[in-house]
Amino acid sequence: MADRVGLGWRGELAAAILERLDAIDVLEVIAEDWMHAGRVGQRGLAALARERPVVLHGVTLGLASRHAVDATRLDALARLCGAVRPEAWSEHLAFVRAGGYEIGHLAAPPRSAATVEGALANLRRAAAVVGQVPALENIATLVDPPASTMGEGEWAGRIAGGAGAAMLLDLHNLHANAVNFGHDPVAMLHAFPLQRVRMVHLSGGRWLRAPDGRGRLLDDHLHDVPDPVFDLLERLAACAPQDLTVIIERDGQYPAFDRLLDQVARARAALARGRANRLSRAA
Amino acid sequence: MTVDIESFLARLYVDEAFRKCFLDDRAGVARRAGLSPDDGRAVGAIDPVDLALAAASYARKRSGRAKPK
Repeated sequence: MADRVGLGWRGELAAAILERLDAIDVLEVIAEDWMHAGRVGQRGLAALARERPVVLHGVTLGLASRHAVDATRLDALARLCGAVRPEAWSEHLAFVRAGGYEIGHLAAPPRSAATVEGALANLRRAAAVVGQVPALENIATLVDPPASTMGEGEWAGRIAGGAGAAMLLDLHNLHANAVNFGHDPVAMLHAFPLQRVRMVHLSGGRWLRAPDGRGRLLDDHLHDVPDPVFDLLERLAACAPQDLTVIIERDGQYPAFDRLLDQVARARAALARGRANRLSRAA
Repeated sequence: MTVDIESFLARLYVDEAFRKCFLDDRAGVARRAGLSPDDGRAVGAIDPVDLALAAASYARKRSGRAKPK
């Protein structure tokens, strides 16, 4: 295999993706969009998975929690995996509900030994039902998770290492957390278990101007991938020898499709520069 | 009655009235909710602007104006 670059499948992009499949190595599909698609819909997705490698991406399991993952959701994911036969599946290091409250999106739990244990228990449940442990994605957070006893990279490393899981490293999430909480993005990158990274997300966001005058970078997937995120990809490719699968995520405010393909090309170029740097250092 | 910190955070993100009470009396709300003293101190240190921005972002997601990712 080799490094691959692809796109997140979205209904709004479907026609353009199918027309330019030659320019896309791999597709990532939001699992929840297809769990209730019916047999015909899932057969269509399975046909797509025969044309290009497909990764199913879960967004609602809430695996990084002291609360047990919902068995019904795991069963639905397992059925979808059985129907589509994706290359892999992934989920976030996040919680999405607790105490009867549905947050509606990904939230950062305390980075503590307790949530490491909770996540590992949930990953064992997930692997038993789905048949495979997911690749684990770091999330962006606007709240520095309280009661944390370790940094994000160490916390993610303990969970991924304990579960024997690959990492899906979202470089815009990493960048956003770094700038929002005053960390050095490169130091943060190196704190993650880079030897476990198999997949990468790239996306964009926008700056919020808060009432206190400080800016916060919101990871909204509605904007182009910014230059610092491509720089992080280059650094990752320079220090991680394994093949990487990179997905550009875009969830709205869609530009002309050629502009998305430009970002695919920029990701390939960043990977190539990083690989060249690695080789030149080794020589 | 005790509550775990994830449940407390989830309610803080979702329940606007609870969030307002918390910002008015952090220690009291945490204690009455049943958080441990350590967790109560930890949530007491949450930046109120960050909390407001996060809660607004989650509310937008719940209202379906943006897809989760």
